[in-house]
Amino acid sequence: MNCITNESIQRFIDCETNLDESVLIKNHLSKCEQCASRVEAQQKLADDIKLALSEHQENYIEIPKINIPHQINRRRPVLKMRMIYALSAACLLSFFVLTFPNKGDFDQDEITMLESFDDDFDANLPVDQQKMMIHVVDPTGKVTEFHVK
Amino acid sequence: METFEKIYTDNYEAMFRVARKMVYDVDVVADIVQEVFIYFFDKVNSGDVVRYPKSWLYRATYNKCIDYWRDKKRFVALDLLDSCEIEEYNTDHSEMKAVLNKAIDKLKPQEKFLIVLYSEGLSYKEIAEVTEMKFSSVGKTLSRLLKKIEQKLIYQYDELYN
Repeated sequence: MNCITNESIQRFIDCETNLDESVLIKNHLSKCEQCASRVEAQQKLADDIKLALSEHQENYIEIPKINIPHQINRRRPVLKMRMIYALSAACLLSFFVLTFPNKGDFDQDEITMLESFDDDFDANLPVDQQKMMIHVVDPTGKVTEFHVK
Repeated sequence: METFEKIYTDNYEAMFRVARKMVYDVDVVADIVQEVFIYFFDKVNSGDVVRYPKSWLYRATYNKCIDYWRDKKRFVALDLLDSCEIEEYNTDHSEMKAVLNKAIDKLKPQEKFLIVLYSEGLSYKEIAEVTEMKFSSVGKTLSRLLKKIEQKLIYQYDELYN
């Protein structure tokens, strides 16, 4: 059997190998002194690193107390603001309606043209041969009728 | 989902230990951990979902430590290693630890973070989750890092005694 890799040794010392793998490694280590010493050295180095890093650690870490602010309902201010806007808009609208009421008189300042075809419209004839009627409405409201042939 | 108070009390010590191993100043460490938890609180309060709070906190602590180093480098032109009080160690055993710490400090920040997580006893699965590394490559990376530290140790011993 080939010697085991550094990665396998690492996983073996960290107990991250599966059952088959660990059996294979253990079998190999029982036969190969070189790999057994490698495992030992790597284990020692890992332990030393953990020990060296824990050198700076305090025995007791005090957890500072926290004051969590009360959860405010953020939806309520939004609704309140919406209500204020809606009421303001309603007040403004009612002000304009009351100040400038609709007089109801005809206040047209343009000529309107409405074209229409006669009742005896023949769909088989081309458009330029159809009889057409044009109603012209002037600003005074007078309707004039024109017949186009 | 767990409450903020529970997450805070469960993870504060672990975050403190990790930050302490990355940055040596206790006061700075306390500030870093506090900032991390405030950031976490704001994030959760704003409606964001944190699936793995512990992993998120580890990553945030690491990022805050990196930010601290960057700021420190900007204002102080001293090496991070100078903050290690190596002179204080008298016995051979302590000297060995100091040399080992010096070797670890010479690693890249993300490599050191991996070693710190490893020293915290995190499983490969947890390490992979925190560092966003492939689970299958954690063992390989760790073994390479250990070799790297070993090489640095050999070099430092050669420098000291030859």
